[in-house]
Parts: sequence; C-alpha cells; structure tokens
Amino acid sequence: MALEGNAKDFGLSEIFQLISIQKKSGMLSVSADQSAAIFFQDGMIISTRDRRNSSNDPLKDFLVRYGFIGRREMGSIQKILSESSFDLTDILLSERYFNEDELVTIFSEQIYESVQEVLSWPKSQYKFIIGSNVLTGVKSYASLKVEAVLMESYRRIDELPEMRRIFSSDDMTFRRLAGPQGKKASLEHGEETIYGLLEEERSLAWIVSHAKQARFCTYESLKQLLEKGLLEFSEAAPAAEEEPVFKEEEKGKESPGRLLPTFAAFFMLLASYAAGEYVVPRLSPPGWTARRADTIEAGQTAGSGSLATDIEELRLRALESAIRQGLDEHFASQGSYPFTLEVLAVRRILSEKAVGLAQHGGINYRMGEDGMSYVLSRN
Amino acid sequence: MVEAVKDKKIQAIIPVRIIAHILCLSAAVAICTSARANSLDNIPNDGLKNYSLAEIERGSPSLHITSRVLYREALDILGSGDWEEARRRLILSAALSGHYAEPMFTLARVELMHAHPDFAFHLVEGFKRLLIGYRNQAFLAANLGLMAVFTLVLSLFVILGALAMKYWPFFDHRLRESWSKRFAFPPARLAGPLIVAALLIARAGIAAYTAILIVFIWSYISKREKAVVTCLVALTAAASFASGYSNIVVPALDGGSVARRLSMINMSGADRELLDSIESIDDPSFEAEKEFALGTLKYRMGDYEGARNHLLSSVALRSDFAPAYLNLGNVYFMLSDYNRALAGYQNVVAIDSTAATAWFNIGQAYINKMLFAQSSSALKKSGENGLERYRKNHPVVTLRDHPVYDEGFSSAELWSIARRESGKGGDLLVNRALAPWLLFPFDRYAWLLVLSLAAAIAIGRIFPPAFNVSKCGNCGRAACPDCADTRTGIILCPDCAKVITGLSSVKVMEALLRHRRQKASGRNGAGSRLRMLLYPGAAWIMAGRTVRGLFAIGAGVSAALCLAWSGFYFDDSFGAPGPGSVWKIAVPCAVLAWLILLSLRIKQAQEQKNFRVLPADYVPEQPEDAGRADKPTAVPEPKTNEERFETFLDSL
Repeated sequence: MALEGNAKDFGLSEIFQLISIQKKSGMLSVSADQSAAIFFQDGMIISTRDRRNSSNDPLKDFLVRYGFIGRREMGSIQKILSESSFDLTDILLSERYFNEDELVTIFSEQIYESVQEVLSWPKSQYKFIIGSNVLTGVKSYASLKVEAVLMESYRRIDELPEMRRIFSSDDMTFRRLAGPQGKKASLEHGEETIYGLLEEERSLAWIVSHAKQARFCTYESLKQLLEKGLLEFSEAAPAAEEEPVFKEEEKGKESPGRLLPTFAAFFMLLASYAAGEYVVPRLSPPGWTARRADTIEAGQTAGSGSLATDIEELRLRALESAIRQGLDEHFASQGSYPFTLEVLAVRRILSEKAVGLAQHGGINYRMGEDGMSYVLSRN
Repeated sequence: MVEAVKDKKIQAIIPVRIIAHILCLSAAVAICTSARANSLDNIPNDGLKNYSLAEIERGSPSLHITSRVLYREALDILGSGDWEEARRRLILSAALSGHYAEPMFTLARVELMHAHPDFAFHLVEGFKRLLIGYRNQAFLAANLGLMAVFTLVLSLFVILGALAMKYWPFFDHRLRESWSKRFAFPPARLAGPLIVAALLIARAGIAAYTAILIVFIWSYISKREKAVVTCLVALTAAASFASGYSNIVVPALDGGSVARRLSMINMSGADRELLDSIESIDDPSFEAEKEFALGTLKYRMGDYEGARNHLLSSVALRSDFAPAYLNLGNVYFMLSDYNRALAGYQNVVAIDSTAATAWFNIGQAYINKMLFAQSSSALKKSGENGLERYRKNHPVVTLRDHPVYDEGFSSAELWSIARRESGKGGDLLVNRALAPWLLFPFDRYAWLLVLSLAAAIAIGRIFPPAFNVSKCGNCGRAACPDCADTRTGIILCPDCAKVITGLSSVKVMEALLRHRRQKASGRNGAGSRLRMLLYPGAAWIMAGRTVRGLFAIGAGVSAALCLAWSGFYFDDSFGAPGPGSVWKIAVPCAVLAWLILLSLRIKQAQEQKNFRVLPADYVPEQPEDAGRADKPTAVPEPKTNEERFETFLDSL
C-alpha cells in the first residue's frame, strides 16, 4: 500500500505530519531534479540514507562537505566500503573516527539538513511506502520528532535568505578580533569552534568546509560572532591556498644498463640451445636421441641368432614374424601365397600401416613361381 | 550280446572290470572321434580344411593359423550382422588353438551384446588364455612391466611438475627479490620464465629435469608432499635396480631368438623351414634343447630313426630333460618297442610324477602290452594329474591318429632358455625403451634420484635463507623476510598488509582481509582449473590433496600411454584394426575424461562463517590520526622487517 502524489497538491509538511500523527513506519521517497528518501519508524524520522543508493549517501557528503572527515580519509573509507559489507557508520565507529554520541549528533544534523533541502524543493513528487519491511537494513543513530524537524527546517528556510544576504560570497574573508576590553566573551559551542579556526584570515568557503557543522549553523555562528564584535570580514579574496605538492622521491634503483643483462639472457638461451643440440647427444650413448616413433630402420635380419640390439630392431623382427604369419594365413585360406604384401592389407590380414612399415624397414617379399613358396628378406 | 555269448571263454579269463575299462576307453575314443569330425567338418572353406589336415599330419599341436583365419572370417560375418553364425565360427576358432585369446574376448563381447549367458565364461577363459604359454606370458610381462616403469617415471615427473607449478610463486618471488636488487632489465618477472625456457631449450631429458625439479622444490613442499615424492622416488629407484631382469622378455619379442625359434615347435607342424631354422642355432649352451626340438619335429614327420638319434643326444646332454624322455618313449612306441617306450615314460614320471601325458602314454603302452590293470591305473593317474587340461591347451592332439601324446617345450622351460639367452649381455630393454625420453640409462636412474634427493636435503639445510619464503597467512601468496609484515601476529604479504594499514578495528581488518582472501581464492581457483587442463590430476596437487593427486596422475599417465601406444608398447599383432582396437582408444579416453570431470568438481575448502585470520589476542596499533576518537597504546615493534619475520618464525 503506497501513498503518492504531488507536493503542489498536498504539501510535504502535511504528509510528514500525517505520518507522524498516524505513527506510520515506512519510506517516503521524494523526487524532483534530485531524489531523496526519508525513513520513518512509528512516526519518527530515523534516517535519510537510502541503502539502495550507496553512491549518493547524504551522510558521506555531509561528513566531507563540513570537514568532519578529510577527503583522503573518505577515500580510504570508500575503499573499505567497496571491499566489505560494512555500513559507513560501522566503519566510523569501528575505526574510531567518532564515538557514538558524536555520531548521533552528526546523524541528527545531517537529517535536519536533508529534510530542509527536501522541503525547499519547489516542485516534487512523493511516494510513501508503508510497512516495516522497508526499514530492514536501515541503520539509524537518531529518532527525531517530525514536528521538531519541520519547525527547525522551516526556520532555516525562512532565515536562509537573510543569511545569504549577509554572507553573499564564498570568497568573503574573515579575521578574528580580540574581545571587547580584552574580556573573553561567552561563546556557544559552534561559535567557539569557528572562532578557534580563525587564527588566520580565512574565506567563507574554507570556514564552512572546516566548521564541522551544517552550513546554516556556520552562518548562524558567524553572524553571532560578528554581532559580538569578535570578527571582521572583508570582500577581498586572500591569496590562493595552494595545496602542498609532494614530489615523490624517485625510488629508481641505480640502473646498471640494459645491454649487459639482455646480452646475458640471450647468451643463456643460446647456450641452452647449443647444449641441447650438441652436448646432450654427445653425452648420451649412441642412438639415444629422441626419434620418431613410426620410423623403423633396417638392422639385423631375424633369425641371425643374436638378440635385437634396439627397440626398433625388435619391432622390425616382430613385424617380420607377423608378416610370415600373415602369409601363412593367406596360404591357408587361399591355397597360395600373395603376389605382394599389399594383398595382405587388402584382405585385412595385415594393417596398411604394417605393410608401409615393412617397406620402409627394408623387408622384401617375393612370391615363388608356383605361388606355393616365398622369400622374405631384409636389405 | 551274441558276441558276449560266443566269447564265454574269454569272459572267464578277463575280469568284468577290465571289460568295463575297455568300454570306457572305447567311449572316450568315440567321443574324440566325434569331436574331430565336428571340429574340422565345420570349417566351410575346403582349402582351409585341407591346410588344417596337412598341419595335423605334420604333427602340429595347435591349428593357430586356421584359428586366426576363422577368427577373421567371424569378424566379417559379424560385420554382415549374422551374429549366430559368427558365434559358431568364433567357438570353432577358439577350439582349434588353446592359446589364442582374441576369439574368446570377441565371443564374450558378442554374447554380452545379445544377452547370452556364456559371455562370462568366455571372458574368463580369454583372460586365462592370456596367461597361458610362454609367448603370451612374455608379451604380457613386457607390456605390463614397461607400462609400470613408464607410469612410475612419468608420474614422478608430472607430480614434480605439478608441485613446481604450485610452488612456483615462492621460487619466483625469491628470484624476483634477488634479481630486482641487482638488475633493472630484463624485468624481474621475466627472470623465472627465462630460466625455465633455457632449461627446456636444452632438451636434457626427463631424468635431468626430474633431478633438477627435486632439488629446487624440495625445500618448499610440505611434509606430506615430501612423503609422496619420497615414496615415488623409492619405487622408481626399486624399478631401476630391478631393471636388469627386463631383458628376460626380449627373446619372446624377438622373432630371431633361440627361445622363440624353439617355441615354434609348440605352435606349428614340422616342415623343412622350421627344421632349418632350428638347425641354424649354433649356440652350444642350447644343444640339448636344439636336439630335443629336432627330435620332436622328426618324430612328428615320421622320421623315427632320426628322431631317436636327436632325442638320445638330448637326454645324454641333459639327464633331467623330461619332455625329451617322453618323446623318445613315443619314438620307441611308434617303433613298437613298448618296453623301451615304457622305460622312457618311467624316466619322465621319475623326474616329475605329475606328468599327465607320461601317465597317459604309459597307459597306452600297457594296453599294447595287454596289461590292462596297469594301464587302467596309469590312465587314472593321468586323469588325476590334469590330462584334460593338456587336451584343452592342445586341442589338436585329439584330432590326430597318434595313440600317444608328445610334448613340446613347457613355459617354464622356455623361460629358462630365455633367461640364459638374455643373460649374455647387451643393453637393457627398459633402457632402450626409455632412452628417447629419459636420455639417461634407467638402470642408473636410481642413483641419480637418490643423489638429487640428497642434494636437495643438503641445499635446504646449508642455505635455508635462500628458501626462506612463507605463505601469506591471509591470501596464500609468497612472502619473504624482505617484504612480509608480521606485526599482526601472522605473516602477511605486502598487498594484504597494505589493505589493513592505518586501520584500528579488528572487525574492519578481518572484513577487508576476507575480501582479499576471497578474491585471491577465486583467482587461484580459476588458475587451478586452467592448469588442470594441462594434465588431469595436477588439480588435486594444487588443491593440496597430494595422495589423490598421485593416484589420479598415475591413472592419467597410464591412460595417456595407452592412447599413445594404441594399447600397449609391444603390439603382438600388426593385423588390421579389429573390434578390440576401439577399446584401446575408448577406455583410455574414458579414463582421462573421468579424471578431468573429477578435477572439475574439486572445490576449494570453504572457510567457516566466523573464521578469523588475525590472532584472537591481536591488538591493532592506533594510527596517529587527529580525527580519531581515542588512541590505545601502540604495541612495541621490532626494528626491521627481517627482524620481525625472524621473531615471528621463532615464536612459532
């Protein structure tokens, strides 16, 4: 069951209040040029972080934008996030960037700012998805009353034009002044933080990005400090703050040159080839070099009385015996010996390979004139 | 009945028992006659039938050629689809040669395909025939022996290769570290491949490569892997030491050997060619056997005088040569000198009291001497000592007219001749067979293996820092003292250490390390599968299941050898491809496919859900970061990385 519509017809603040009064749980999705999600639990706002859109996490932006965490540190955290299933808040707590109280404050501030932003959108569509299911996996460190959030947000929206008028440019610079008659003025926490930052003259943009509080709160604190006479500002921009450039020392090892090792590598390969080609065959006993398996070379004739001296000779003699047997088979079935050994292959007594090996091995066959005898000899 | 009445006087003289024996003998003769008529009459080809009869006339103890022709005909008939006729032809083929196994196997296959119950019997009979006879035994021994030796040698090489692949990152890491300190070019990552390429280009042979692999991987491999390698080395060394016996099978494989020529009298009928072949044996150490063979052939040709002279020479040279006495007795029997014949047979039973043929011939001699009681007793002993087995192995003897049975060379006798013949020096068969691959004499291979093992152990002990590379406790990559990080209490490679640098939460560290571990594991898994394609069995070695890997590699090597050799190393026949040829390809392919399938199913061990790689008592160092909430006290650390590594190893 969803509640959806246009903020023009039925304002977001009414929707907020409706949810609050009815103590609904669910997710209010608001979309205009951008989109935002606000999570409610029993009518209280608990988060504005949409876990389905982790690349656009408002808390992450909030932390970096206002200087809670440096960009480099956020890069490390981002890497951890991409390589683990942790939530940003888990890492912030585990790595002790903040303790839990600090995180609650930051989290609340971030909700205030997000809601303020959403409420300030002139046109928007909304959709409220009711049910606790949508809250599964939502991490929350604050539970804010809708009324309080609405009141604060509208106050900020109302006062923001005035603030913009005072702090008209981000390039404005501020310099702190000593307190009136050397007395230390009573400062609130936010004012004290900003006052502490202004040991040197700083631009508004720099102050906002280091104040560790929402932009509106920074403006508010600056305004207070100005009113208390603790600050003065000028429109002129200070000299550009250059990031220190770290030139990494070249770790280059002493390069001994490429020629010698390359030559050595080629020489090694060449020496190996020469060893394989000349040394190994010389070290091996005669006839021990690798040979093609199908090659049979003629050697001693079967029946010469001595045992075969190598495998090929052994195979040749076995082939000779097989041919004799085949000839006998032909004689037994046909009554005569064949004209040539090929006849044995045609009659499938011997394989064609065997006949080929016999020819290659120098085995000669000749049928007797009457076909009742034969001569089998070796070259 | 009428005759019985007429011969009342004879009945009174000859006991009824003797008549019963005569009747039994007559029945036996009748059965034999019937068998003869059945066997040869079933041969459809008249030319083949005449050839067979001529062979029987020449005293051939087996119709081997006839059997082969019939077998080939049966295959042709089988191809045309008439399996029943083919079966009859196969049975006939099998019946005419007691040592020919092929018809039995084909018969078993045909019967199995047609659900005939005799297939099991014929299959068993086929295997039995493979083990009968000197030539079959020698071929089997040579092929199985060579298969075993090749499998051992190649399995050892493949396992070492697989281990080298597994531990290559360790060796390569150390090499890169050393190389990159000295040279900038070629890049350190090319140093290892360059060395491997140089070794391969040298084509030094499996023996040299095996020795090199043993030396280089020994210090890296685990204890279990060392045990497996040692076992394989021991087995190969044992085979190497025993290789001196390999030549005993050579005479059976060599058609021109003395043993092979003498064995021909067991296979074919007597003719001039065979006589000439045996007469050409000029080695005096085989004179007794040569005389026996010539005497036997002449006896079969009907030249009894010539046969007697040769056989007498044979027994004069070897007084314990039982078959010579038997055949000499047969010569006297054919010359109707029954007393001398009996003397010859008695000599045989004095040497071997279980000689069934001798007892049978004694029985025949007594019948001719009309001593039926003694004859009956001798025939009974003949039956008890396995006359039927003799007839089964020599089916043609029942088709001959000779009343007495002769003997050729027994398998044991031929093995003895082969042993003597092969003992006269010459290169070893196994050396010659392995030469093209090993490039090293196999009979000295044991020493090479033992020396390389000793060298490996010595090098590992003398230069331990050279092999001082450990696995990253997280991702398993190589990590040496120069690069390892041990601050966490485990060895971490630089990449894993970098991932957790600056973190203060063990929880986050564990998550990041797990992520990296899983990534590395995925990469290794893919790599392992790729390497598995190189050879089935290597995947088990990679996965750390060494014993399974050993068996898989052994089976894979055997199957690959079967494929490469189209069956066995020594092919008994060069005949046209028959139905058996399909199995020579199908079975090894099936084994290889099965091994590849099993390899594909290997899964990396899954880690437990809450597995932690960091020690339970590990307290992370707190980075000096202003943004952090609090900073626990940093753990004191050793000075250098190397010191940390050593300290860590000491603590282990």
